[in-house]
Amino acid sequence: MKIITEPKQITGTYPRTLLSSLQLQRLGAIALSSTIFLVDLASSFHVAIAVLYVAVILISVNIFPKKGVILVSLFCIGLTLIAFVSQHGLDFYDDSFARLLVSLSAIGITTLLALKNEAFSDELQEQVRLLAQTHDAIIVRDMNHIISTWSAGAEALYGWSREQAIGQDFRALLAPQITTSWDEVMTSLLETGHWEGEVIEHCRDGACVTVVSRCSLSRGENDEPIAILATHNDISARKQAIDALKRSEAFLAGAQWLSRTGSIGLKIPSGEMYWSDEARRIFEFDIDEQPMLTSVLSRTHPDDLHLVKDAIKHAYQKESRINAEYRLLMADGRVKHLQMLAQLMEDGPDDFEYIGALMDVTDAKTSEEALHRSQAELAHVTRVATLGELAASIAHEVNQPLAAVTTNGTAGLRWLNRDVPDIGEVRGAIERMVSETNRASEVIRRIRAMSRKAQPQNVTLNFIEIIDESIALVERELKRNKIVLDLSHLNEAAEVDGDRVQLQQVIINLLMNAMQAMINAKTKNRTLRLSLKNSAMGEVLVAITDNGPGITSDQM
Amino acid sequence: MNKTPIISIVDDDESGRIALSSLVRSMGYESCLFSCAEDFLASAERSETDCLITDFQMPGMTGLDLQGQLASDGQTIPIIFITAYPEESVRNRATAAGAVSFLSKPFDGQVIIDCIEQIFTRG
Repeated sequence: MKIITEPKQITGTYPRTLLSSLQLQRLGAIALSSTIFLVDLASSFHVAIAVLYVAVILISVNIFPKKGVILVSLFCIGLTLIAFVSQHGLDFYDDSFARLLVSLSAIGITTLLALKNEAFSDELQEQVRLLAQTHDAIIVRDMNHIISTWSAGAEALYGWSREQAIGQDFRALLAPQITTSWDEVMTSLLETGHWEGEVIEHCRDGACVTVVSRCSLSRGENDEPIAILATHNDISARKQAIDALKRSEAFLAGAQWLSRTGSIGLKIPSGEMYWSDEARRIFEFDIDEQPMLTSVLSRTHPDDLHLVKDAIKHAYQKESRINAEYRLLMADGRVKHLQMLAQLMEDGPDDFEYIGALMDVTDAKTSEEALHRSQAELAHVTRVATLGELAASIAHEVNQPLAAVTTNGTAGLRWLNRDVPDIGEVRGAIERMVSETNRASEVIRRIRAMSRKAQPQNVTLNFIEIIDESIALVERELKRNKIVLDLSHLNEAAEVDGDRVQLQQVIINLLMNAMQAMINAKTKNRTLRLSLKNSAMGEVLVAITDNGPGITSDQM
Repeated sequence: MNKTPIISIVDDDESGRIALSSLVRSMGYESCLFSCAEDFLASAERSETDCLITDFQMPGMTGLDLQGQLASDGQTIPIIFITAYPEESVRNRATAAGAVSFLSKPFDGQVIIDCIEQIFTRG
């Protein structure tokens, strides 16, 4: 709603009328002063004719600015003196001189009062003009709340026109609601002359507005209260904005609590900090603890202190975005995992601020670690299960060299215990015992590696070795099932990063699956081909191909 | 008996073969080594073999197959079975088919010596 505060357009004829009225007044003033002068000069009345000049001054107030009024006043004084000197000469001991002083005093006092009055009315007019320009509603009501003045601002705010509002009971028209009682408002007005407060009022269209009402009491000549002057300033929008802000803050606080994410602010170079409630909860700082960098550092896990210090260093270097993941160490030994992300906000050429989010990711970290552990556990169980499946093969792998050792041992002793010991045969037997013992311990080493409950270790490995070791564990099983291994395509060297045992596990599972598939399908001439290729992308491609029935698309 | 008895050893595991060979030779017998049953059946030494020590699980023909083949060919050779997979059902079948012994790897060297000596004393 637009409120018109511009003065009304001056009509074409209006200035001319004003001008002629001014001229008329000026002419009148000149005529009057001339008449007074002539009468003063010619008359022999023993009265102070010159006192009449005050009329000229009063007229001039309306037609001249301040300086003009002073000039008119001096002019009148001049005329008075001329008339006096020409009539009485320089006789200062006559009654007429006393009359002259009276006249001059009257002119002077009138001029001063007129100028003062004019200044006052200028000020008043300015105030009225300013008031009219404000958007505020200005309402004057009598002591019975009957409206007598209703400004354009009030029309705009409430939708009631001046004609509709004037004469109405203020309380009936706007149904105002206040937090105190009307009696208290009236008491305050009568005692202090003022009252100020928030009022909810109803507009013509039924909508509610919240206003700040500033009332002052107007008193009559006998100091009796006659009217209440009120300005009503619409703060609905501000109020709504504040309410919205409060709601947003509440939402934010809720969201921060739910997501365990706090806000932090860091001003640079002052080092001044801001923590949201949730940030305090995360750090476990008391509500009265002053936000300071030192307190943040004191909570940081000693092992991660360098991470936080680095982040602060980056902040002082004015990096646009800072990301840090670190731990807190609480007094009772609990460890919290935090993720922090801060964004640079420019304040001025030298001052800037980082606004950031701080998230407690302890739960996520803990579950991640638990998941990791259970994956390792599962891998271990799977490996042990695989070892179980391979138990017969493994027993064979171990028993074979053991049998050779005992047989060689027995044989060696027999060669030694002959009447003429056969040293050559003894040496051969002992050498075979040593090599068979090594063979057995190699098998044991491989099994131990498979069954070890160790965290995966990422190292660079020769894939051929992985394949050889995997084959060694299942070779017997393959032989037993009459499977021919084709290793002629394993001629490329290939290095990979990974965990030895996990990779072996994969190869063994693939070999066993292929074997099972061929057994189940009763495939003839069972062949397993292993191939290894280095791709152009730097990847290592291992293919294990069997000549079983394959996998149909619906089994995929 | 002037001729040194021949003991044939059939085992796909080379080290096992060589160890047994050394043992039987230390006892004064001659040894013939075969890495599979088929080789033994096709060999010239087959007919001269006085005792057969054979592994049970082998690629191709198993020890049991070998025993069956010899029986069907009418050749009776005392057989000592050795196996790294001791399975009761297999042992029973071998023994029923006339196997002298059924030994599980690893076996005590003296046990096989006793088995061999028992065969030749009886023979």
